[in-house]
Amino acid sequence: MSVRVSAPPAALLFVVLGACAPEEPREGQFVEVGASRGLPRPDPAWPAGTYFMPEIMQGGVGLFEADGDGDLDLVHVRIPPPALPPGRIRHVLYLQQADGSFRDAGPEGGLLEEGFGQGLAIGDTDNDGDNDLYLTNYGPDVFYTNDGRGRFTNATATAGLEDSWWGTSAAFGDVDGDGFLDLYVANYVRYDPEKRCTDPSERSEYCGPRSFHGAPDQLWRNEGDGTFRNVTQQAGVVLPQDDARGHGLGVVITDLTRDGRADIFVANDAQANQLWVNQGEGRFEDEGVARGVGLNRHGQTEANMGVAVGDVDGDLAPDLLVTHLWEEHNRLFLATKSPVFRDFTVESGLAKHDLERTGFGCGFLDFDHDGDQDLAVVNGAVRRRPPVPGAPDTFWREYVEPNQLFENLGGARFELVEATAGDFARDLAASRGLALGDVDGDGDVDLVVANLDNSLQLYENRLPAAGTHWLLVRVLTHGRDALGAQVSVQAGGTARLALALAGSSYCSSNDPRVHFGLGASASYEALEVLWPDGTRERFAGGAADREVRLVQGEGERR
Amino acid sequence: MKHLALLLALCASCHGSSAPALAAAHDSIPLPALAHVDLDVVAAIEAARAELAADPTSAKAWGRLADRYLVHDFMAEAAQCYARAEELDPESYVWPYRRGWSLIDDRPEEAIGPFERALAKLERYAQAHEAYGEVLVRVGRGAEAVAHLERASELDPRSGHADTVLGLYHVSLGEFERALVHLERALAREDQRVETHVGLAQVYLALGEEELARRHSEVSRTLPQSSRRDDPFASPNLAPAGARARTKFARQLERQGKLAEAEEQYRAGLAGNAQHYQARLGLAELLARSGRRAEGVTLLREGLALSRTAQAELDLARLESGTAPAPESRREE
Repeated sequence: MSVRVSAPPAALLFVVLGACAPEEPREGQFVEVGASRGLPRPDPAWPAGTYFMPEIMQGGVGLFEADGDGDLDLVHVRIPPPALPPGRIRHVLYLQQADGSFRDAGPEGGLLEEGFGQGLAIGDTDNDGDNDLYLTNYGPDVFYTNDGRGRFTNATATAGLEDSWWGTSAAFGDVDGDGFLDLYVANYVRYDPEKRCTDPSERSEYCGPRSFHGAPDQLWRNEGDGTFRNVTQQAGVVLPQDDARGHGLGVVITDLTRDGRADIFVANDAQANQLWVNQGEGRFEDEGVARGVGLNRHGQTEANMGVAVGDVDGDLAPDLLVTHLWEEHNRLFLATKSPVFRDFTVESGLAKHDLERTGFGCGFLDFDHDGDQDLAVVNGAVRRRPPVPGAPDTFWREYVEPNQLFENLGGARFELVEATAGDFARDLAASRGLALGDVDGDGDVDLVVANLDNSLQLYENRLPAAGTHWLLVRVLTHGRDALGAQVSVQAGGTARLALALAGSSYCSSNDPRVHFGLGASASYEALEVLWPDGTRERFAGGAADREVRLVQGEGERR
Repeated sequence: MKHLALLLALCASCHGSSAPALAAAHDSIPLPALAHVDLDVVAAIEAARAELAADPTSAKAWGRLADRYLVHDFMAEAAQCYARAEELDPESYVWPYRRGWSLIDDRPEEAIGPFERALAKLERYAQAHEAYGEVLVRVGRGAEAVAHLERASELDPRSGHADTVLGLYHVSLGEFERALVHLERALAREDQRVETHVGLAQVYLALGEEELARRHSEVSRTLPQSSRRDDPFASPNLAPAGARARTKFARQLERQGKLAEAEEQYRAGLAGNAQHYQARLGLAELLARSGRRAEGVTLLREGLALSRTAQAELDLARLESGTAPAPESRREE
């Protein structure tokens, strides 16, 4: 039984007949290369699900520099296969080798604690120049510090980061402006494994969030001495109805209200989203409903999953996308000149393509280097749906769905580009996590997808045409990536905005470098950074097609 | 296997007593996957299919099967059957109207035509204008929706629904002053509709009235999620089958004061699926309201033994202490 059917018929025939015929070229510009680079394949014996809810929600994958060799490595949060005795499993650190393949770091990597994995957050918590890891589980989460060479040590207890709720997405960000990364953990529900749920036709089915109370999210303040303090209550990050309204699945930390302070957006499953607006002095207020991002345009709650942030309409203000369940739309909220976001889902064209999909991981990227932000979404049902054509004949037949790639036609109008998406849209899986980053170092954004069967797909981007240009910007503060910083580039007479976001999507973490497609511009005039502490700096222009490092304090203060 | 055996037996009985043509007709009738579906739901579906196979040119028979699919959420099959019913009986507003409802969530573009045809025969029915207006807003034809929503507001001056939809539509366009007119009118008509308060929170924030925005935002948090209005033209009148449908029917009976019949439906639902929490909770609350609180408490305790959830514990504590259930309690599982 395979959850994923990744090979087109011609390629299957090739496998069956043996290597006696040349491989047929695959159509499309995102080509799956993970299998040949050492990433875990779909398990053909992946067993039937058991309706144990955590087995259908996991999806953690992170792209980051782990071992100091300058390329992107990968961490994969996993679940024990269903239908086996309830257990735990080791999460895996994959180190990228010089030839582009990935090697399981094994016990030497130090990710030794087993868990029922869900998601992760990645960031340099001690400002020592390397990335640390926070892994969420159904059960106790684990925090690892990095020695700079890709060897991790469990520091959960010493850091005081003890969270035993069912954690999903998490994100690091400096919410109090003290120079150290704080941590927000979205927790899901208080699950009862004994609870049996049925679908509307009375068949056994995975439970939905409404069968349980929400689990409270946690905000942890980084004390700067290797420890964290739980400040959830004193920060006001609590909900009035005994936590009943928090079913956290997605989280992003950046300034969404343009007041110079880092806000926290939380996507909640079947409940209103929260936009925790930073009031200063460590206090937050939820303004999600009033700012138009809490509910859909009809004022109703929906199943909110993953979150993407980017400027899709070119007004230099960050917009939000939240992925959703089938029969609901992936919601696109555009920032406006008023404090209220505009629900632009229908007008954007996205609404035409998502009613029959359940979206989880998502991200904005300029995949063709034409200068605007396109969109990738990975899908997979949580409840039975009519099988899509080509679905494998297994337990998961009614859960697998193709992923989707949308091209921004300008002005936040999107078009589904299945042919261009190639393997990314052709493969069928129950997908959850999506991480974005320039994995192969060629200046464009590649995609890594995590699936329910513990397989990973790496889709190499071969799209940007010759003659198009790009820029990667690494923004640094206090000796680490300035997570949440907003960077605008002036090139060819046009200004574009992109963000240094690791924690976003669903249960995943992205390459924190900011990527710009510059179209035909072989150079750029200037860069401007809105740093997480609210200050702005301008940096001089230069040539395109390279990675630029910007350090806070070295630019011209605005 | 039990399901399969029942299906085979039912099919055999209808095939055995009919001509081959009847069997062929039966086979061509839309049929969703019924594996693991409750036996009484399967039986109800098969009975409606057999009735249709016996009279395949009957619009009512197609409509009855469509209704059966609609109440059990087999929406694609419901839409197919309603389409056939409408072909056979083009004068009825019922088939296109219900077809619209079976399509509105999955395929709203395809719901427009059926709603439009139904509306031509239901010009004075407020909810037909609301349904048509809502589906137009959903597919991005909001400008066309405005006239229908305004007409709905005129036709049913007690309802705040149409004005709320209009208000939220204007909010989505950034037309906050226009939105305010509709939302305040909606609020004057119905002050417990969560969407109205949500819209007002956004309008007041945009207009710089932060305190009013905060107040409406807070109120919205205390209100249960609105469900669709009861619409008799969109609600098939069928003998219920399955715990979910029986629970829904029992609640309707309760609202009509038919407590004994409601109790019967809850119990039948629980007999078919002892783990159906909403059936258990509904029955327990009904018993408590009927002066049989101890029986209700016992019922919830039995449920806790089957599945211990935080919600179930909370509901039990509330029933024991005689306080009202929380808005979150009465939700679909």
